[in-house]
Amino acid sequence: MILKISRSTILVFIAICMLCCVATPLLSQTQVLLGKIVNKATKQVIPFASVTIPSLSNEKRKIGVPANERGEFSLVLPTADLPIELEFSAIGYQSKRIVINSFSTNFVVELEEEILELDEFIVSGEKITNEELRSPIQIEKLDLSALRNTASFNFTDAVMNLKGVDVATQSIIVNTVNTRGFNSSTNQRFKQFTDGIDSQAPGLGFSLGNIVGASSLDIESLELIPGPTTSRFGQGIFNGVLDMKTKNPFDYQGLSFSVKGASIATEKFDTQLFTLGNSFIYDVSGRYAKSFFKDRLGIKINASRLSGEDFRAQNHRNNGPGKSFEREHYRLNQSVDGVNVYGDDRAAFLVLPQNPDSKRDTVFGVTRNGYREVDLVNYDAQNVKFNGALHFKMTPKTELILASFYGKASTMITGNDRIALRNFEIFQYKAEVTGENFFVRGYSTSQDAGDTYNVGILAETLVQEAKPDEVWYQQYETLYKFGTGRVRADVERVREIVNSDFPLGRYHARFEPGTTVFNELRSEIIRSQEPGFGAAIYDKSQLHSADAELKIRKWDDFFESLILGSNIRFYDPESNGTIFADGNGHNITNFEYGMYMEGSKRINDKVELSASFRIDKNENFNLSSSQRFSYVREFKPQNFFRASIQRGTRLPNIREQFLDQNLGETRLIGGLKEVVDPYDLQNNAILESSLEEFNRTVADDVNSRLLFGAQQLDDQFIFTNIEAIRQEHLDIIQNGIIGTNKFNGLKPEQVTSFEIGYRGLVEGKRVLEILYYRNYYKNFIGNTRVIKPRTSPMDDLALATKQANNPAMSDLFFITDNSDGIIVTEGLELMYDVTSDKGTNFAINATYANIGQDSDDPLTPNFNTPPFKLNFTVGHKRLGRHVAAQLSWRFRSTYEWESPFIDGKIPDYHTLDFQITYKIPEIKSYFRLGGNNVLNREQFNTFGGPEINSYFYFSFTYDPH
Amino acid sequence: MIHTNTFHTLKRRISLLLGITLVLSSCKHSFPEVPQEALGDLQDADIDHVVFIGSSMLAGIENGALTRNSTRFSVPQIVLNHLGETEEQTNFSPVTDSENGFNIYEQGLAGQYHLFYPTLDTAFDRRTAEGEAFQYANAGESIRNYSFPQAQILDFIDPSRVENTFVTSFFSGTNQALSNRIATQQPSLFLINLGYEDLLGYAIGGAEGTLDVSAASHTYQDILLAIDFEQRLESFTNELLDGNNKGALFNIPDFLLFPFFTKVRRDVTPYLCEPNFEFTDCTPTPVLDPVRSSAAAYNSLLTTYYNNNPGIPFDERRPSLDFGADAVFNWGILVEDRTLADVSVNGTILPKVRHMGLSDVPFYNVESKLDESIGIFPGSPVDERNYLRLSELQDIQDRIDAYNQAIENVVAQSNGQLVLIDVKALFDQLYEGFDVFLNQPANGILIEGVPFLPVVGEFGIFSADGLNLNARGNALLANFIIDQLNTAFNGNLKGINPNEFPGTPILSPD
Repeated sequence: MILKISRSTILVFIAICMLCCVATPLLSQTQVLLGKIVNKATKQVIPFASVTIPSLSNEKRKIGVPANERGEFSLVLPTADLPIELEFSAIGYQSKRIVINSFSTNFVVELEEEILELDEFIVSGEKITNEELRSPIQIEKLDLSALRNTASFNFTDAVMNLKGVDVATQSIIVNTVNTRGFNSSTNQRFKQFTDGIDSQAPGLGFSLGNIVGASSLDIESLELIPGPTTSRFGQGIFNGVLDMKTKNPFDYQGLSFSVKGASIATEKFDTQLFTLGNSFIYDVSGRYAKSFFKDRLGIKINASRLSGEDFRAQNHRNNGPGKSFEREHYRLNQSVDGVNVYGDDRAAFLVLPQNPDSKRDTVFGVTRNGYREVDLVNYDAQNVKFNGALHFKMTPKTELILASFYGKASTMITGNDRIALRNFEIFQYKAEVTGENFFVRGYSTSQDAGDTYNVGILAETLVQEAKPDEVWYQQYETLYKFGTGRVRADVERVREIVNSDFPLGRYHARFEPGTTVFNELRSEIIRSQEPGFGAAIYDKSQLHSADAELKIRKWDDFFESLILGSNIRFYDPESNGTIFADGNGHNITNFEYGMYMEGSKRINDKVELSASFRIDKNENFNLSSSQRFSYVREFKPQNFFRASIQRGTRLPNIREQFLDQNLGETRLIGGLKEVVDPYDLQNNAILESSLEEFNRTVADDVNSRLLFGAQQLDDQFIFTNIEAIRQEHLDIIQNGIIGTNKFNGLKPEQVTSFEIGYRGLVEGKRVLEILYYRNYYKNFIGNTRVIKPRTSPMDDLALATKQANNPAMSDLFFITDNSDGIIVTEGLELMYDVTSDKGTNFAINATYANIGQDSDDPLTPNFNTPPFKLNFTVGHKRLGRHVAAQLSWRFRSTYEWESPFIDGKIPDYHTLDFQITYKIPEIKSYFRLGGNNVLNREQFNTFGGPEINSYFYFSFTYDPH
Repeated sequence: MIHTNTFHTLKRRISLLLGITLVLSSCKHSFPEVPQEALGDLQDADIDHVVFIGSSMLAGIENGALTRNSTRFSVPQIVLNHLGETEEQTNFSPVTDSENGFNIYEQGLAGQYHLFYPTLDTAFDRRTAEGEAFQYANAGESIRNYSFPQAQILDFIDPSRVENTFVTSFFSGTNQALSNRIATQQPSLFLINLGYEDLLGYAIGGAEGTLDVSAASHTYQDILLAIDFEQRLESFTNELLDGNNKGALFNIPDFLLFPFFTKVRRDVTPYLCEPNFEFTDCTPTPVLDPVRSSAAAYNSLLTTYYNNNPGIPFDERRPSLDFGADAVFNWGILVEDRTLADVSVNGTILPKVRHMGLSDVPFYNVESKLDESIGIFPGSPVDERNYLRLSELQDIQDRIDAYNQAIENVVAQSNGQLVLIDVKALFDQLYEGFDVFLNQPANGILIEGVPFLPVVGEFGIFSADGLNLNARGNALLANFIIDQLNTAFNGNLKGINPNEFPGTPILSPD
């Protein structure tokens, strides 16, 4: 074979050789600076001091060398760089900068000790920047160092210690972060972004969190912005943003990896003060980044795998009428409704004779025997993530980024129901061009629910397949009233028979967990999407988004900053009717876009004003606008007062518009008229709250008639007919009938928000922050709970009421709806943070939050936030050369949890976490040993969610950065 | 000052921006209309002109009366409006404007019955509203529901018969037979419910009429010979059939199970003493002593009589009356029994009275009279018109079977032009599990989880008269008819949801 080499190729080769010849001597013109760092007073060497080059360093990355244990250092510098300024620093000594004009081999630097009182703390310079102090919005930032040292297994857990933060723990993999109320796994008012990508699952709506996001090795910083944010993140973000940024491949090159393991207690709660648990989870992560072509091209790849056993939701306490310890149906309570027991949720209220042959009736609730979650799901948890990015510097300040993320998970989440994610996959692709004054970004998120299924529906189908409700309740009533012998009025015996295959052959006996027939039917149900039977969730929803932003510099002499931007989003939900109203081949798409402008103006040295304006349009809603004005004044050096007012509009998202999800005993419906109308609720349904009030009133009335002595009791009660009493109170139901004025379409939610705050360095030493906010929501979007009996209440009110009290004869709907009146939320937040000169950091923050709503407003807002939260952390990033440690303690007061899944009270709880980090700079590695909830306090932060048990972890990380 | 070119450039950009905004704003996802379920059709019958012919069951009688409201929910009204797919109710039937109506089962100007919650649990109390003189609001007008209260077959085919005042009131002043009037309408499909009322009249008259009479001497409370009924029914259907149209005949349910015949307890105890809440004991009311006294007086005279006439065999003697404490909750209602032997003591004729036994069936109408001293004193027993004996029940049951056979014969001889609406099967299904003696309730039918029970009261399909259905019962029957027509005529008519209709209200006692 003959190689044909062109003339031009030869010329290029010669040119490269000449370039190398010229470049080599240039590169070789370096010299070494050798020296020693000593204590000025004692002349003792200072081991492990740092020598850095300020001109080449930035906040994130320091360029330089460390001294050895003898205080000696050597620094190689190009001769041409002289003169150069070097900075010498060590803990407990005042830093010193010296300009080097020539090379030396016996250079001695003397550092002065800092003289400080032992109990005096000084805020470290990196704790808060002046920009953060004067920011018109509140920003809580966790940088690389803080994330490393926070006592948490998972880096996203680190935000738990920040003020005002609520975390909804759904599994060992998925946590959802919220601030300022309306905590849930799908809070539409709080967003999470990773490198500009919205991390909310476009279909199921939960935050993808760790499933597809960056690994702890790749995360660079994490910013939490509680409250109404700037309009740059998109419309309707009233409660906050968690913005995560990953490391770029230019500044953070090379290989890094980590191995983590944790012991976890997943079985029945162990009440011992200290427990190592019964199971184990591990997490292996790796990252590699490299730049090419003189830092013009960079690539990075990340991979991680987490495997182990998930937290279990095993709260079997009774959430229905009666005592919470009544976990099984028995003689005195037939309406047991276990929290994590499914299929037993809706009670039928039956009017039955109190005793055999009695003509005196009583009324009591009856629920079916459900299934415990632990009998329905496998708690093995897996998460595999891959992502890669290619960064290309088109010019020194313009960068093209192409990134791709993939995540696959099997774990549990608590959304509108308990969902078992199985082989759930997420794909994200991003292309972005970023310049000094602009960026243009496009990304796409696709999900595939894989073998995911709804645990609630699984239980409901198992219950109904054995014997449908209508048969079960009728048999119960008939046997109770007319059963022969001992059966009559013996609720335990009646239940036993009704749960059997009675009458023989026509129905199945209850399917008992662990049996072959149970396992086979379970497998069939979780594979099926058949409405009314299958629990499988089909979800291949997609989100396509494009953002662009431009910094306008033309009027720099007037504006401090001026930004113009826009966002466009296109949703393509694909759930085959298992989540959205897209069954029967009906395709749903949704398109929205918005534009915004933000500007700030420095009035004088003390005062800065900023304003933003945003308009948004969704194809199903009219054009809407949002405005925000803020005022920041530095009334003393480094002490800032700020105030802001915002009037914002939130357009209903696709779940709020198109949801049509069957949860077994409940159906969730989006608010669009076209989605609600097929259910024909107007004039045919009643408010669940009215039914509850009716039942309460009847019970109170009966009880009031029983407030007599024993003899009188009988005399009175024999003339007291429960049905007649119910008849007397039917006006309550009448008032709760859904009229033609309801469910005529959803309106965008509006908020008017006021916020005042103070943030400053007190005496130049301590960071103190106080803020108060108050939000007025109009057309607040929550859900209205209605019951549709088979017979319209307009046709026969008494019959409809009877049916509404029986799940076999009525359907429960949660309709996405606007509030009738104004909903007000308010909060007060306090934070105090100091770091001593020795590096000890002490931080405490407290939050008060409250909600106000008209008592006659039927809307359920799902505020789900403790009125009082307290966080306390104490730590040190450098206890000597190798060790860092942190201890954190959190308290949450009691609060009510409302969700389509379940309502209930979350008892107050407190938790103690710790972490010790042992660094080995020589091998650029560190070990972490930590524990979460080490006092082993039984707790959960979402009602119906998993118990967060005590667990201890150990990790090794090799990370040269 | 803005330069002209700059101004034009700016103007173009603004126009472009506005244009894009307008285009994007106009994008709207159009949600497809939810398809309405089509009515469907019958392949082998024409539903363009459907006519109903019948009696009380189809006439809109509810709570004992024909009222303004009850006619809205008669079976023919429900079916015809369903087939017509009319948004607003169209009237196809003889109607009245009366609020309370005219009670066809009570004497005088009584109105409809109302149910009330009683002062004791689980037993309903019925009161009768004031009524009005009967009058049809649309007499003589065109109708498609030829159903009249208490109408029997002879009222349709005999032009000279004036027995049924409802028929004569609607078609006053004509000598045309009703069958002929209907035939001139040329119904494409007719549904006939005759035979039921022909037997019911005898039953609710306490079997006081005559069995197996000829047409010439027949009154409402008599029963026509089955063969005569069959001939007349065949003649009637032949008159309506024109070779192209179709008809359907209802058979007769076992109406002796209806609440009218089964609801009232034979025990009069609750009206004489107040039971405790366990129903194990009761406290005597003031009326018990007089009852016991009069029963004792009756027994004393009876004893005197038999002492004076010791030759009378014991099986021919009357039983004594017993309201003793040892028989509480077994105090049978006192009924007149003309089969009892005559007894006269010193010129005093003892009324022919006995306690009601398990083989007797008291009518629902009796219940409201029990606390008016009827049925508790020997001098005022429940008369023979208000209960049935076992032998009478058997007579009626035999006629039900015979009439059903007659109806089946007429259908069989129609060469497929007539089909059977098996109403009997519907009620058999509803009454599955029912046992009066064992106090076992009927299972009823479940529709969408809601029970439809053959009772008066909660989830009941019977109105307060215990004979006629309420709106949800009518809708259940209407849906059954649609179902039967679909089967018989190869159709796919959509069904009627009985859950969309009201039941019988039960009011507060106050």
